[in-house]
Amino acid sequence: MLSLSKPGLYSVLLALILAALWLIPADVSAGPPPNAEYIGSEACGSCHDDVMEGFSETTHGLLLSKVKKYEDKLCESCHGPGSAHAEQQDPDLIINPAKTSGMDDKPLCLDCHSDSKFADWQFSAHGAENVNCSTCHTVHSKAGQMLKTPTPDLCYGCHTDVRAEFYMPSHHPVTEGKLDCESCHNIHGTENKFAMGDDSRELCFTCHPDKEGPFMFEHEPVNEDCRMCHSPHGTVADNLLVQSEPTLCLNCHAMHFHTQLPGQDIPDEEPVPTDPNRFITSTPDGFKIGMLTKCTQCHSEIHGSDLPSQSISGSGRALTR
Amino acid sequence: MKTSHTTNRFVVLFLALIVLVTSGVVRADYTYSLWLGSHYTDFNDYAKKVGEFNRIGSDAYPEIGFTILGSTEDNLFSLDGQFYDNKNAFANMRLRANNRFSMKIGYQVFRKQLQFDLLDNFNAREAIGKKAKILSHEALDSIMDYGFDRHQAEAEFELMLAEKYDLKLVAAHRFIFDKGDEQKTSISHCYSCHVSTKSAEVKRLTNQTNLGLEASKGDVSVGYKFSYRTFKSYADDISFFYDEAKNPVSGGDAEEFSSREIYNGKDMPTGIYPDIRKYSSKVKFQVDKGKHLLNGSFSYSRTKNDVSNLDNVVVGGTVKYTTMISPKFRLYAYGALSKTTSNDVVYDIPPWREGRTGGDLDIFDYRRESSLDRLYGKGTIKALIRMNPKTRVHVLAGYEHIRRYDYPNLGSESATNTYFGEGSIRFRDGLKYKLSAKYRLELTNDPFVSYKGIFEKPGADILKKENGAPNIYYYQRERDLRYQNITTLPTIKHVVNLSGNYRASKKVGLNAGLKMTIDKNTELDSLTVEHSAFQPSVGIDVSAGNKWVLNTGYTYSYNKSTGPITVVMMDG
Repeated sequence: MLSLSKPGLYSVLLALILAALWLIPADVSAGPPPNAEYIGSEACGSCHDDVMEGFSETTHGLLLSKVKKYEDKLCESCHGPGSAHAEQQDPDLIINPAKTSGMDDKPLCLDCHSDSKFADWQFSAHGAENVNCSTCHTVHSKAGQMLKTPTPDLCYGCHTDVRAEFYMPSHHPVTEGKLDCESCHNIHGTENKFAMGDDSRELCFTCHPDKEGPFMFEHEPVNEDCRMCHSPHGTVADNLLVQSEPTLCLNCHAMHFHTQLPGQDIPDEEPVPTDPNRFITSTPDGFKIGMLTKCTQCHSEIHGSDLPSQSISGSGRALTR
Repeated sequence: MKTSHTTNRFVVLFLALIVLVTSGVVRADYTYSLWLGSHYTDFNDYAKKVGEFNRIGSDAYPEIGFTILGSTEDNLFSLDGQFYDNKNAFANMRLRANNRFSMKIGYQVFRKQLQFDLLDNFNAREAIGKKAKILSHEALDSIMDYGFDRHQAEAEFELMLAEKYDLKLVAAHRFIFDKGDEQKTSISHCYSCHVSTKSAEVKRLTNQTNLGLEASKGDVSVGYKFSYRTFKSYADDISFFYDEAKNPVSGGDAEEFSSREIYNGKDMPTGIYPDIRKYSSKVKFQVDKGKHLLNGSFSYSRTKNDVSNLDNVVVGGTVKYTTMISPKFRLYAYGALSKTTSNDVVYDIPPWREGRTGGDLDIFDYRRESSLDRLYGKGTIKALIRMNPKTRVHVLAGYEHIRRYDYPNLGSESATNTYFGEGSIRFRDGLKYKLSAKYRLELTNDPFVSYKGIFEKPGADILKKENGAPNIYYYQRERDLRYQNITTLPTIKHVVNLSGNYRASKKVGLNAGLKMTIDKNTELDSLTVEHSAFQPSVGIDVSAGNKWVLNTGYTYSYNKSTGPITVVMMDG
């Protein structure tokens, strides 16, 4: 009897789905026919006058006119030979980069934009999701105006959940314009130029290197993933914490029993020990008191420290100094 | 520190560039924009909460903003900047010359304020009914508005050395300088349970330099990058006085508190920043054969903290491969493997009972067995299928493995395995409308557990009454009950993402979306751990030609979290 573990079962299911999808016939028939010829940009302008107007002042207009192999083609440098399209006025007979599928060898734009910044485009979240360059860029625009909308609004258009997070009380200063989405994210698949490794935490350390350590006394989640405690876009809790203190900390740690004890006057003279009938015990108020305490007010070096804490419990790794 | 000089140099540099450009010394076609204005703010203390990056003050400030775009036959350059107030300003310059040289230089300053007084909630806590012995607090300095200015400058250069091999020199530098005041806290355990705060000067400097070479010939590209980063605090160390430890309940001396007397009566430095030097080397390669693309990297990095003389080394690599099997079927594969090694050292702390009453000598030496020591691996395979010109499907499967050595104790091992899969379908009718649906599933075995993790075992059979105290249970001393190995991290996670865009006309676009996340820990015997998030959204964008675009949207976010938190139900 063949038995499969859960991952094994999922693998088999995945393989079956892939096989089924592969067998579906595809209809791929857009673009110029093989016998199409280049006809020059003047012919394009006779219909697309709105695009041609001022095109020579745009970034692509300026650059294409200075590259020998493109100077005669201009529009057809990107859109391919246009004779069939011009004759039949069929939009399927010309390359429209905005409608390319992502299934080609590589996106059309990468023919020219071939430097290392775009080397990983195919593996980027955008590239693999089949996002076209023209989804974000206005190709027929002047330098400095080649985004459809300035960021971060451009990104918010699709990432609406992130927009909501950036309006929470604690957030990275993106809405204030101090950071950009690209400060952290590899929009074109390019690695962050100041990241020094592939570890997900490394991205955070580029701006917050004091949290990296290595420390003599560690807080282990810091070595796992910053996102265990922090949500980088924005949170209701302070300091981008996913939950407010002490709730967040109590997800992993037991609360000190002291923390819940109600207060008492500090007597001028030392009180007489009253054990076993001590005069302080937990009360309902004590619970409230406990929940009004922030753990990091005492455990102030929560990301790690090189100094031993006073208490022996935890061998000095209480992260209080 | 000469940061103010550095700032001034940047200002002078940008002013000189503006003069050069506008005077016509640099001959080019220019496009200018200049914006003048002013703003007035009137925040009160409440604004601290939401004004973390908005400067608090009741003053009117002039504002100025500008952009300059210039182009010649072979060169493109731009300058832009804004002065909002003397704590918020930026300027950037970009230049591309003859396709051989490009550079970007930018400078920015902004202020980050502490959102709350670190002693504030003690006031609330102690207002519950009784004055507090546990905890009392004291602000030893009177500064109330803690915060720092972050000065950040970046420069990036690219120089073509040999066009034949596309050989380029790539360099970048960034410095980040934080200057201001921060609120530091310290606790004297445990007679007074006394939390005190002091103002500490912030002078933190981060410098990073990258230097690399890139080259390509035919189908093959290679690159090498060396990076070096330092972090150091130049502020004077601060110290706090540790008072005498006594019984927190009775106020009397007690042998059991001897362990907390190590620093009695001393001023001890607190909150010292690490002194970090990190360097890394990375080699990259790419082979592009049209239908087949293979790239990868190998990296080595070493991070050293000079305060504690610790370091850790990460050696790793990645490989990515994509191939177009047919015009309708593209396959992606990704693999990553890295190993982190951190040195184990013994920290020598005086025996805690030496010269004090009670018990035998107990060595307090601490051997650091770092949880950084680990092996990390990840692999994914993904298929992108074009079913017809309008419909595209993707399916992904992946596996992630983290093996931790020496965690939580020397020689012990723990491993977390995550299997994940996702699929999506997208339908697009030209530019008219687009619909997509995506689902992701993650299954995790043995997710990370915190050191001395929380408990699930019922305590009725374990808790023992204190001798002579019929109503007292010392829960916190029952280590078998208190420290166990469960976690509130999920073992199964579902993510659903639906979105739709409809372009009603060339000028008006509508979009709507829904994102849902549900996760759960299924490895627990009795407790429930579930998290859910629900985020529907709608939006509209209206563009009147190329001159202006109006974007507006609304997102509703509902998050729910159910899980155990450990509060003490019984104590002494």
